Amino acid sequence: MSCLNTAHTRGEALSSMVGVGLRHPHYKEALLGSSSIDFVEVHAENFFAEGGIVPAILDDIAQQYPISLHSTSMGLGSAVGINRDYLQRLKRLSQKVTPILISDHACFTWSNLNGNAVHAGDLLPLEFSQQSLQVMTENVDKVQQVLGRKILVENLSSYVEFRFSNMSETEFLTELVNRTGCGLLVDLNNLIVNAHNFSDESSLQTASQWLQQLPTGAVGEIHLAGYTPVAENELIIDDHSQPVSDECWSLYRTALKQFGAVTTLIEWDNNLPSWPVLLDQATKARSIMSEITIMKNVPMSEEGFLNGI
Amino acid sequence: MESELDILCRRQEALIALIFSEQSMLENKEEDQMSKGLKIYQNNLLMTAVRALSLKYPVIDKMIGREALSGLTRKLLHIEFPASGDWADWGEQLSSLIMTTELYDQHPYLAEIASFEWFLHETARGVGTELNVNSLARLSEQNLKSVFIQLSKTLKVLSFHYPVDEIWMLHQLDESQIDTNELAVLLKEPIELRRIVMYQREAVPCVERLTEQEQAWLIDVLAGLSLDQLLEKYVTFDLSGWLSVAIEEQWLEGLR
Repeated sequence: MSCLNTAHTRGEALSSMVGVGLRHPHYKEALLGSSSIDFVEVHAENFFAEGGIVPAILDDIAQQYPISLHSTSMGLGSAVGINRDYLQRLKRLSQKVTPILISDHACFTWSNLNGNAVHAGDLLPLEFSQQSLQVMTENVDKVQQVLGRKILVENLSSYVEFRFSNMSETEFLTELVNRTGCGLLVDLNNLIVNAHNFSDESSLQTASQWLQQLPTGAVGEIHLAGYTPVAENELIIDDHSQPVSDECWSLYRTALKQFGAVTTLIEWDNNLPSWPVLLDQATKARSIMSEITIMKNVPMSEEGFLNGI
Repeated sequence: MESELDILCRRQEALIALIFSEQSMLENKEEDQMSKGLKIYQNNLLMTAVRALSLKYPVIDKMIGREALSGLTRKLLHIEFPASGDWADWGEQLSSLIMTTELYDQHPYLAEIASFEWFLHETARGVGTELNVNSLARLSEQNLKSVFIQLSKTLKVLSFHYPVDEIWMLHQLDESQIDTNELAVLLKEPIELRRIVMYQREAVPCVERLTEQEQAWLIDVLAGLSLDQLLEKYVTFDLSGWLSVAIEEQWLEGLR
């Protein structure tokens, strides 16, 4: 069903792809005309329905664009494990779409409440401890076995910090990559939001230092986004409701210099702009990627993320 | 002794319990970092759940307004936990929740409209099946005791005390176009049972009204009566006419 442009099936072309998050209000325009993007990212759960019009919409999207499946419910850090039915639904979707990437977050979602199974419905933060790493490792291993391919794990924006953490987030993610062979999806906006909310230093400086602690070659995708500004002393909420912020563009340049060309996505989920405005953001990302990676002769990142394990 | 894993499970449970807690963090006057953070998670949960309900219950949303829907959502989150990882699966118990609220005393039709919208949501996502044309040859068999009508898995036979299908259709119009007099008539005390069949046709949910006999026939088909039993019970029933409609409307999977 999937109709990938052969130009996009080679790793070196894939590593410089630029796409946008495709949300419901844009389906029609995205499917009508040709657009300048290389791929679209869809939220996996929005396409779990096996009947009705949803599968046909997904077929149409897949005919026109390579698809990246971004899950928001897998809960890779859940101590109770990942719901089996959920994983089977994701597997069926993955087999149907043959996505170029599959990703989810370093968070937990599954747990128990009053003795009953519950899904948090949100991306809840992890404590960065050995036990949490062990849980995450086992879950990522299991998911990669079930899906039969490598996944990318995204860093989270978090609104609480745990006193139980005894390693840094980058140590945690680096060790996860070493143990499971997964890749990382680095959300630069999440880094900026966390830095604003929890660091006393400049957010750009904090986020840049965070990037420097990641292993070379581990990053398979970058997310760019914006957030709604808040009053001083208020926590910034990662609402993906604005254009990519200037800070985020600046951090993107830093990241490209460090990692080389990396598949990049504009993530805009709320207060959606018109389709052309969203595409303009992607064009800007492509322009920066070209400028940094070609003019400065920065190498392409490793191609392995876009193929199987 | 508790294992490290058990301890981690308990900590994760504790965070979820705080987020789902009925006591809103908005009431917490201590604005420390943890309280601020928890408040964000609580607001996120409520907003996501409200959005999920409004997508499944657009007419309820229109009729009661977003504030009342938020109140119902808050209650529903404590009765029916999201548990599948897909918000589309959550919210089935809204109708029964409405029946326990003051809203129901003043607007008893809301519970039925909520039921109708949930069934519509389920029907829209169900997997339709193609007619097995070859199976229709079983109609010519001598012994109809072993011939059974197989209906689409998306088909539901439903009864309502209010004309929920008309009320729902009326609310597909822009608010300014809704005839409030017509709506008032529809929402009056019901007189006659509204019997309907809900099903998927060309991947889209459809609703048709049924007569009492048509409804009884469909219920018996779903109950697994053989064709022989059905024809014995419904002596005057127009089987060929019904089959024609059933094939056209994609009610029928085939005969087994």
